[in-house]
Amino acid sequence: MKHMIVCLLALTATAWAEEAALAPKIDALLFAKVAKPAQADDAEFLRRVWLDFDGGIPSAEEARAFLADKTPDKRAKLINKLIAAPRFAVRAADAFNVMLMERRGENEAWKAWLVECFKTNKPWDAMVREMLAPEFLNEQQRGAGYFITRRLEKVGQQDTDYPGLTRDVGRMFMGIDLQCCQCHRHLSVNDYKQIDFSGLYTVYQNLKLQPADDKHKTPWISEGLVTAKYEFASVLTSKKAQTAPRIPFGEEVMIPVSTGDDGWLVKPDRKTKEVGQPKFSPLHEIAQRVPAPENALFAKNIANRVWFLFIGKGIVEPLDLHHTENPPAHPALLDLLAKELTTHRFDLRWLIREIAQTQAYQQSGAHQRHLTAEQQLRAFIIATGERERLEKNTKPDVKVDALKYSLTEFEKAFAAALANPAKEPELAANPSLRSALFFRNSDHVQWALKPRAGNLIDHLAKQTDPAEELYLTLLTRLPDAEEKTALNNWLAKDSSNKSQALTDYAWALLSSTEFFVNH
Amino acid sequence: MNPLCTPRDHTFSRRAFLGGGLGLLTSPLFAEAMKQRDKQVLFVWLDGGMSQLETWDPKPNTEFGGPFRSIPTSVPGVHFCELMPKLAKQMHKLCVVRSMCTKDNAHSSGVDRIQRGDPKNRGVPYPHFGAGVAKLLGPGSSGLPPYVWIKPGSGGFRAEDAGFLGPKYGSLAFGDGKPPDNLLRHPDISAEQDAARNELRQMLDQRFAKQREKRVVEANASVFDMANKLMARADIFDTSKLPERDRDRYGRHDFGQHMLVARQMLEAGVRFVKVTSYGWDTHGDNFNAHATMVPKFDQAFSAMLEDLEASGLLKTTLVICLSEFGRTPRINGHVGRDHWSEAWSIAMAGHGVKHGMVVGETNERGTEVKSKPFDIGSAFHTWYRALGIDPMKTEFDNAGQPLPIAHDDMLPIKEALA
Amino acid sequence: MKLEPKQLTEFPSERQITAARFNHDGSILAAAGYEPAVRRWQFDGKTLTPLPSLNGFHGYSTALAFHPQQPHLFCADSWGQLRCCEGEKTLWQHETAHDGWLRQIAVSPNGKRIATCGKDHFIRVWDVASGKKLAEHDAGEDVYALTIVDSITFGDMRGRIETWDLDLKKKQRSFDAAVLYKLDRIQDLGGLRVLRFIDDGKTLLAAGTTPQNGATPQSIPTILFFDTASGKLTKTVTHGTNKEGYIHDLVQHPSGCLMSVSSGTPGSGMLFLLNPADKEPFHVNTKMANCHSLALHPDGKHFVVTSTNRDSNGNGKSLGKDGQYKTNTSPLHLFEM
Repeated sequence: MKHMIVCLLALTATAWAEEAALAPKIDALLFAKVAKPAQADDAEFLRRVWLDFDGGIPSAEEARAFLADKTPDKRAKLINKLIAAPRFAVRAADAFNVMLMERRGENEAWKAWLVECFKTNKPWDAMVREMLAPEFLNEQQRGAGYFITRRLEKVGQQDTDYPGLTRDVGRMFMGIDLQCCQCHRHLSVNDYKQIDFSGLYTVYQNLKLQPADDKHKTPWISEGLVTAKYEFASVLTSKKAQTAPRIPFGEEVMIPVSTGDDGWLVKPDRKTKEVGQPKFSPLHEIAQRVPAPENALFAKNIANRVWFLFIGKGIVEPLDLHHTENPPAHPALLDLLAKELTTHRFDLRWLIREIAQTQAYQQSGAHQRHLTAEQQLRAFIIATGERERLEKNTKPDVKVDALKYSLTEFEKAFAAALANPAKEPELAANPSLRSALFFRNSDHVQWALKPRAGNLIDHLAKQTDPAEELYLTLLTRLPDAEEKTALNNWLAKDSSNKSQALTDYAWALLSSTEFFVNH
Repeated sequence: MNPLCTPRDHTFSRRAFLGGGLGLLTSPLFAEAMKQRDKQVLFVWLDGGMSQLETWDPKPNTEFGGPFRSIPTSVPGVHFCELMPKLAKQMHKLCVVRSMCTKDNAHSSGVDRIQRGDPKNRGVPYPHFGAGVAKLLGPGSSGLPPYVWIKPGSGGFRAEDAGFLGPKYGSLAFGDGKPPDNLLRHPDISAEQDAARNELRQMLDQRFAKQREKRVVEANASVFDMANKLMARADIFDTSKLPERDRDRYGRHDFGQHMLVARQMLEAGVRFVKVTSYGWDTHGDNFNAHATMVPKFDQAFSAMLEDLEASGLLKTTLVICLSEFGRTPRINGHVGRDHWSEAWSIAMAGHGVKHGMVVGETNERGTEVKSKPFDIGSAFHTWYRALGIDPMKTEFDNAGQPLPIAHDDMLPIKEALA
Repeated sequence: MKLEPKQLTEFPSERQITAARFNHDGSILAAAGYEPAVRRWQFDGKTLTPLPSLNGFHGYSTALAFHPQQPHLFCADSWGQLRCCEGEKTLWQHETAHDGWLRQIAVSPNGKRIATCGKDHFIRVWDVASGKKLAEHDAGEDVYALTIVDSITFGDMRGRIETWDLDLKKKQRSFDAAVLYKLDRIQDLGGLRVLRFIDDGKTLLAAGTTPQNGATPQSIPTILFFDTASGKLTKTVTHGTNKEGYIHDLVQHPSGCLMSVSSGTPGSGMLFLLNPADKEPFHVNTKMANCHSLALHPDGKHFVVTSTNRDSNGNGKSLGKDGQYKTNTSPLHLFEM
C-alpha cells in the first residue's frame, strides 16, 4: 500500500511537473529577491477564481463544500474545473469583448465567435488573423469581422474613422498607441514614428464598409487596389516620405506591379454592383504579419494583457504603450511569458492556467480589482438568488413584471450604471456616482432584493440563524463572531419584519466595497 | 521680491485661519475667512472659439469686420457687435479684456491649456481652474460637490479634470443639465430605511477598510457621499417649478435652460459652476452661425447677470466667460473664420473684478493686440486674485512637490482687478 | 441641349465677391463683396476691364441686380442701404431700407418694382422710378432669399417659402423646404440660398444645402423642385458630398438647362450644369475653389464664375509672401459655351 501511495505521489508529482512548468518559473523570477507573499486563504481564493474563471460567484453550498474540503490539491482541482467548464468561455469572451471593443456596441455574431474561440481554445494568433482579415462568407468566422466593421461605421456626419481603426490595431495587437503619429512623429515617444502609423494606415484606409446583403449576412468590407506606396508628410517638417503596407517597426510589403485592371481578381462593375476584389490584399498581408512569432511585440502585448486581466496590473503600463522609455516593471518576466506563450503557439488557456497556479496570483491582499459590469451583474443575480428566474425569462414578459425584469434588461441596466463610457480602455473601473445611485435607488436592485419564491431573501427569512448563509452567498466566506452578532442585533431591532431587515442587511453587503472588489 | 524668502515661507495657512478655535471668532481675520467661504465662480465656456469680431470687439466697416454693425453699450465709448443688444445694456457690470494673446491654435490642446492655465511644464497634469478653486476654497457650506459642470450630451464624473490634485476635485458633469439617473429615493424605500441601510453599509465598509487598502473603500465612500448630497438637493435640477417667465428670459434653448440650472446651483451654494455651449467652431458660414447663436448666448448670459445682481450673488460670485481662442479676421472661402489665438477677448464680472471696464485693445483691423498682450496665465493670476487668493503666496502641494497655482512668469491683469 | 463650357481666362479681384451680375446688354459686370463698395468692369466680349467702384456703402455690399432693360443697377449692403444707380450716378438711396443685413434684391420682370429682404425679417417693395416704398411684410424670421414673377416669393431661414400678393396683403401659396433647415445645439442652420422660377413659373426651385451638422457645417448641395400650382415637392436633386456645402447661385440658361455654382469647405467648389428633367448634372467642373456666384451674359454664350483663391483658410496668422496679413480674393473665371 505504501509502495502504491509512493508511486501515486510520484506520478502526480511528474504530472504536476509537466503541467506547472511555467508557474514556478514566474514565481522564481518575481520572488527571487523578495519574500514570498502570504497566500490567500481559502475563502479569498475561492471567490477570486470563481470571479476570474467563471465570471460569477459560487453558491453557498459550493462555497461551504470547498471551505470544508480537506484535499491537499483542491485549489488546483478547482482551477482546472472552472477553466474546463462552459462558463469559462463566456467569461473570457466577456473580458476580451470589453478589451477589444471598448463598449462600442453589442453584436450577437461577434460575441458568439468569441465564445466559440475560447470554447475550442483557438490560439490567439489564429484569432487575430480572423479579426484582421475576416472571412465574411464563412458562417463560423464572420463574427470576427465586427472588430473592423464596427470601427468603420460612420458616426453622424463624421468621416469614416480610418485613423481610429489604425490606432486600435496597433493598440490591441501590438500594445502601441500610434495616435499621435498620424500627422508627424510622436512628440513624446521616440520609438513611434509617422511611418509606423502610415504603414498600417495605408492598409485600412483602403477598405470600404459594405452593407449586409443576401450573400453577406453581416456588414462586410471590400478592399481597393493598392498599386503605389502611400505618401505622407510631417506637418512639422513638411518632409515627404512614402511607405508600402507595413507593420510597425517591420519590413515593407512588396507591392506587385500592375497596370490598368490587371490588379483586380474580380473587377468592379457598376452595373452588377460588384465592388471588386484585388489580387494584392494588404489586409491579408498585414493580418499574417501582425500575429507572426517574428513580431516580438505581438507576444509581449498579449502576455501583458492576460497578466493584467488576472493580476490587476500590467507588466507594462499603460497596456498600449510599450516602448523603450517605458520599460516593463519586470523585463525578465515579460520576456519569459512572451517566449513561453509563443512556444506554446499562443495557447491562451494554457497561459491563464499557468498564471492561476502561481503564488503571484494566489497571494493574499493582491491588487484589488474592481469587478467589471458583467461580473457584478452575474455575482448580483447569483447572490440574490434570481439567476435562474432571469435566465429562464430571458425575453421580457410583460405579464410577469410590469417593468420587464428580464436578463437582457438587467444586463442593460448594469452596463449603463457600471461600465466605462465607450472607446475608453476599461482598466480600472472606478466607482462612480452613477453606480452609487444605481445601487441606492434603481428599480432593478430593489426588485431583486424583495422576497420572492426561491430567492435569497425568501430563503434567509426561513432560517433562524441566517448569518452563515448570508455571508457565504454574498461574500463567499464565513462570517466571524463579530459579524454574526452584528447581524443578529440588526434583526432583533425589528423582529416583526424579518424580511425587510434581511433585505436591508443584504443590500448593505451588496453595496459595500467588499462585494465590488475582486480581492 | 526678496530672493531669500521662498513662497513657501509666506504660505499663509488657511487651515490655521479657519480651524483656529473660539479665540478667532471675534478676530477680523475670521470675518475675512467667512467672506472667503461664500465666494463662488460661474465659468461659461463657449467651446470651439467664439468670434471676438462678432461679439466683444467688433470692427464694423473694416476689411475684416464682416457684415454686422456695432452698437453702443451702457458704457460710453464702448461698442459691442449688434448681435448682443442685451449684454450691451449690461456692459457696466462687465470687464472685457480685448488683448488676449495666447499660444495654442488647436482645439485638442488649446481647450486643455486654457482651462488649466497653461503653466510652465512641470511634468504633471495641471488642474482645471474649477478643480483649483475647489481645492483652495473648499466645497463651501452647501455640501454639494464643489466643481459642477452643466453641459449638453453625457454627464459623469471626470477625475482627470483635477490633474495632480487628485480625483476628489474632478468635475461632476450633468448631461443636458439633467439630474443623474436614479437620483430620487426609490418609492419602495422609506427615508428611515434608506438612512439606516446606508449607515450600515458605511459601517461594513469601515470594517473592510481595516484589513485592506483604504484607497478603494475611500473611493466608494466618496461616491456614496456625493450621492447622499445630491439626493438631498434633488430640487436644484428641477427647473420645471420655476416661473415660465424665467424660462422665457433665459431662452427656450439648451444654453438658456442650462444657464437656468446653473443659477439654481449657484443659489444652492455650489462653489464652482461651469456651463458649456458647444458649436462655436465656425470655419464655415460664420456670419449666419453667429447671427443665430450669439443672440441666444446674449439672452441667457444677460439674464444670468441680472439675476445674480438681483439676488446679491454677483457681489460674491466671480463670473468668467471665454473660449479656447477667437476667430481669424480673414474670412475663408467657406465664409468662415478660422482659429485665432493672436488677438481675442474674454469677459468677466462680479467679485473682485472691475466693472464697466475694457482692458486692452486691438488694432483697427483686429489683426493684432495694440496694448500689452495677455496670455492665459495672466488670466489665471487675475482670477485667483479676484477670489482673494494670492498666487505668489499660495501653492499647490503635489505629494510634497510645491507647484505654483498659476504660471510663474506671468502677472495678473491689474487693470481688471477691483 | 448639352452645353459645354470652356474656361477662357481668369481675372483677379482683390476682395472676395458674393454676387456678380451682367447688365442687360452685357457691357458691364458688377459685383458685391466683402467691402463697402460695388466693383464694376467693362466687358467687350473677351476682357474685363475694371471701372471705378461705387463707394459710399457700409459693412459689406451684399446683393445686386440689374434692371432687365434699362441701365439701372440696384445694390445693397449689410448695414441696410439700398441704392439705385445709373453708371456712377446715384438715382435714389435709402440708408436704412432694412435694419441691418439686406440679403437679396429681386427685380420684377417688367422692371417697375424691386423687392428686398433681410435679417430684419422684412420684405419690402420699392418703386423703381421714385424709390418710394410701396409695401412691406413682416415674415417673422430672417429672410434668406426672394424672387419675383408677378407676386413675390420669399424663403426664410427655416425653409418656409411663401408667395404673397403684397398689394392685397394676401398669402397665395406656401412651399415646405424645411429639409433645408436644421437645429444643431443652439445653431439654426438655414440652408436656403436661392429661389428661382423656371418653366414659365410652373416650377419653383429652392436651392442651397441640406444641413447635417453645424459649427463647421457639413451639408450637401441641394435643389428642391416644387410644382407651383400645388405647392408640392416634385424632385430633390443633391450633388456632392457633405463637404461640398452650399449652392450659392443658380440661373436658368435660355436653352433651359440650369447653371449652378457651389462652395463648401475651403478648396471645394463646383460649377455644374443640369437639365431640369435630370437628376444628375451633365457637366461638372471642380477646378475652381469656393464659387459664390455665376453671372450669365445676355448673349447666352459667356458667363463669369466668381470663386475664392486657394489656401483661403488657415488657423492663426498666415502671412502672405510680403509678410503681410491680407484678405482673400476672388478670381473671376470667364467661360464660353
